[in-house]
Amino acid sequence: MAKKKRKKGSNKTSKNQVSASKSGLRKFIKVVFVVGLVVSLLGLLILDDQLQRRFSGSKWSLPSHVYSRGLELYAGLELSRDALIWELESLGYRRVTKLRAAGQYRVQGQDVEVHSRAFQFWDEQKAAQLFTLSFEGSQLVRLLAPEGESMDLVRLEPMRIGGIYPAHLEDRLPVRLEGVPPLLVESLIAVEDRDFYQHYGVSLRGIGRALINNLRPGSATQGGSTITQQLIKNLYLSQDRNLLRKGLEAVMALMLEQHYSKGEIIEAYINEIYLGQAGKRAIHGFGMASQHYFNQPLAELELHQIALLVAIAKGASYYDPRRNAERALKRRNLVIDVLATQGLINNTIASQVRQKPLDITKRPGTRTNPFPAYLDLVRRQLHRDYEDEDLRRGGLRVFTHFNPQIQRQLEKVVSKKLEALERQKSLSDSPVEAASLVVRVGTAEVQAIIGGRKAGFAGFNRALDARRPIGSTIKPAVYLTALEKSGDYTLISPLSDTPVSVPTESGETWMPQNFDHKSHGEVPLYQAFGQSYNLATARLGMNLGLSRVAKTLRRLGYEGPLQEVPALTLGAVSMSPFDVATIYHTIAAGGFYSPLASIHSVYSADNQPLKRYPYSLESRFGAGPIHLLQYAMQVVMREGTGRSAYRYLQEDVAVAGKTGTSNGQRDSWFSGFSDDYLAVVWLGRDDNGKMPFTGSTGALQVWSQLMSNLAVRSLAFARPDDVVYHWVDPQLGLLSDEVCENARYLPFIAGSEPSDSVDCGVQRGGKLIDWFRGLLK
Amino acid sequence: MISLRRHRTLDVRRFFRPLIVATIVFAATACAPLQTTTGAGAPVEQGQPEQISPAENPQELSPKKIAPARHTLSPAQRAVTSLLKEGWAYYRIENHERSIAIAERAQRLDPQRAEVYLLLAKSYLALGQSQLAEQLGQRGLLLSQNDATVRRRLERLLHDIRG
Repeated sequence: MAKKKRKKGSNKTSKNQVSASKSGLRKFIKVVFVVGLVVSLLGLLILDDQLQRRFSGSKWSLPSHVYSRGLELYAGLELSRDALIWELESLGYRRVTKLRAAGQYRVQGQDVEVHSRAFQFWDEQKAAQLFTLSFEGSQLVRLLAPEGESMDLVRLEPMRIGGIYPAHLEDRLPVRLEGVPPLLVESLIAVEDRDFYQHYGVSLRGIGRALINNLRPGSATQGGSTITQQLIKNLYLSQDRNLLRKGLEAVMALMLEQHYSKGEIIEAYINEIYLGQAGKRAIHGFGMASQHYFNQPLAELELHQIALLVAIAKGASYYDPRRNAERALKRRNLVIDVLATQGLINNTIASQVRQKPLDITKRPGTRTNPFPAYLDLVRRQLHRDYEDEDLRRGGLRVFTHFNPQIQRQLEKVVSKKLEALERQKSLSDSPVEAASLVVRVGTAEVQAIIGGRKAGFAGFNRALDARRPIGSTIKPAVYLTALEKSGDYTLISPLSDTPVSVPTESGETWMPQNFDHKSHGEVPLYQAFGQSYNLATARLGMNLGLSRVAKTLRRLGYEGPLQEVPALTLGAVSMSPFDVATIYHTIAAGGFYSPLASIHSVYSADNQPLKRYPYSLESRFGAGPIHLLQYAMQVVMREGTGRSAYRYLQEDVAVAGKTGTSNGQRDSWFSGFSDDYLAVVWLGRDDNGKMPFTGSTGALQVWSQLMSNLAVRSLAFARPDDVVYHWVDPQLGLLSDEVCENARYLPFIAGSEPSDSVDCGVQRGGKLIDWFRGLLK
Repeated sequence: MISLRRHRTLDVRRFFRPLIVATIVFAATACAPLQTTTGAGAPVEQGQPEQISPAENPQELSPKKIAPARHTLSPAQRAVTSLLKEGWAYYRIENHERSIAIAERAQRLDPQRAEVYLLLAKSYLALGQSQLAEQLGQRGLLLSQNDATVRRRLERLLHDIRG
């Protein structure tokens, strides 16, 4: 009994123990559950906060996009019909037989009808416009509105010429939902997430339908994820496929739908989705994809193009239309079928659209960096005002002075002319390199640059970084120093072109030579300059004082290192083509220094003006001495070392310039200008090897062909108030008469002209014709 | 032997000047072939061996007289005039940022048009940037030889700036 009792008692105890342990477990589970709940809730709150922060703030690192100038069109512009068509094609305009929408043009003989696009310029909002352009030869002769009235000026939108990208190289052109074709949104929903407007982020019906649909052979494969889930996956999560990630994706999708409207979600999706690859650059969003595949803005796409983009969204690599055209076409047509099935388009249209080709451009419409040398300059100038991070992520819109028409000519001329020069000299060893830049005279706007003979190759930018001896390119600085002293020097001042010998600090003797190893005795200043006599120039520079010459170089705009040694007078200073262009621009602009500029203005991603780079100038030289120097630089072109330029240029086009050749013909330079453009050309070898070219036989040939192709305007060589012209005998340094032999019409700073005349013995009025000429004069 | 004399001008030319109109066709015809005679132009200099290769010997190229250029109208004349009109309108309503932007656009089309610099100078002066305004005025003055009205306005502006 007692045993039983004991047994009973022990049973009771063990029951109590079990119940106690059960209640402990329950308590523990409760605690764990509550803690888990609290932790989960906290986690969800943190997750929710992060989700909102990312979604409401800037979702992406937006690259900065760089734009060219907008082409200004007016009657009288030097522009051929073909050049306009090239510009329109580059901008992604479609050639059509009847204009229906913006971004189209029609050609009828020498007339081109254009329906231009709207564009927000830095100084005005330009609306889309219809106009007709008529061409005669290489000139735009008429600009007419649709009603036939004449228009003064029309501006085309600028070209996108490159970008400054984030480290991960994602490229996108964000678009607002209101700017997206409604059919694109409808198509995306029809194909990717039919219940988009009904679900709360996750759609069980969609998952079920996708399962069934995918089992049917030949049908468009559907995923079970909603658009919201896909967006969550792309914006926040990794690409791993596991249950936990899927669960998290669903939770976050539900959260996103709680905070944001369907419109905001679909807009983010349209801008986020990966749609292709351009080299290392990843194309994200439909805005950039439209440029990448069609070179057109998204708003201009037709049904078959929209269907293709929607098709690509399924798998950008698998359905890449440039690599897998057939596969992409099949998928596109499936998308069209879905649209027809869902009643978004009727069957007649669907069967018509199915017949259309893919219609993509051969090459990607957006190239990562097609003009590397120019973009390099833009980036350097931007770095003065912006941090690298802002440029790579801030989505800035940078408007530049880049002129695609001039760049095109420059690239063409350098490539062809260099090949021809090398062929002519039978060069087959290390290639001759080139660098060049073109600047608009007066505004100092850099319009085109090449940093090497392969202009599209982003390597060493010789236009900015190759500092090479400039040789005789320096001579304008020496002669300008002299001409500023009008009491001492005029264009006919006799200079001694006789041997020079100067002991140097290193104990050696500096003995420069003329190229022909001859001395020419006493020569007038303009002639010594025109013929690039070294001995005369070295003597002149040293008489003036090396510090004066150096100071002139500084005033002209050179900021680099400079050694005041006698050889400085003959160009023993290393400069980049950009430095040389700065100096020559001061001369071309009448003595006014302006820093060379590539950027016009910078705007934020949402088109708010951030910074403008206005034109600035500073008077550094009097108009008189500059006029005299420009005269001497024209002598170079008409009679001196640059005269072969007139093999390419029209006889009546006045240009001014100077050749330059460094020791051993290692560098061939030419720098010169017309009324409208200044161009500097450098040729040389990267290993500093010798070349069979001088400034004249090398760089000048490239320069002349370029200026000829640009159809430059004759130099506006206006006489300043303090300059007078006289007929003089330069050899004798006396006033002369037009009828006299050796007479020359030369400018002088008023008061510096000779006072005495030479009687050359030829009687005026001897012939009736001379009498008339005298009258006319 | 060379004798020296003071340079003198022929007053008789002024007397006969009206005849020019009557004889202009003849004179123009007569002058044309004389354009390339040595008296009117500079002598052809022999090429310096440095720069001229035998294949490019340009002896056949005749030098043209280098003389101050006559004023030629820019092909963008009409477009620039239209922009300037708009620019002045903004200047008058004291929207100087806009008048500067328009003047710079005009300058891009024709950097030699003096009035562009007048508008820029006046706009910058209105914004208190007198130093830049003075430089722009000077540049404009240099280009204003064929536009007496603009020249006078630029001179007045520079006078005002310099006090």
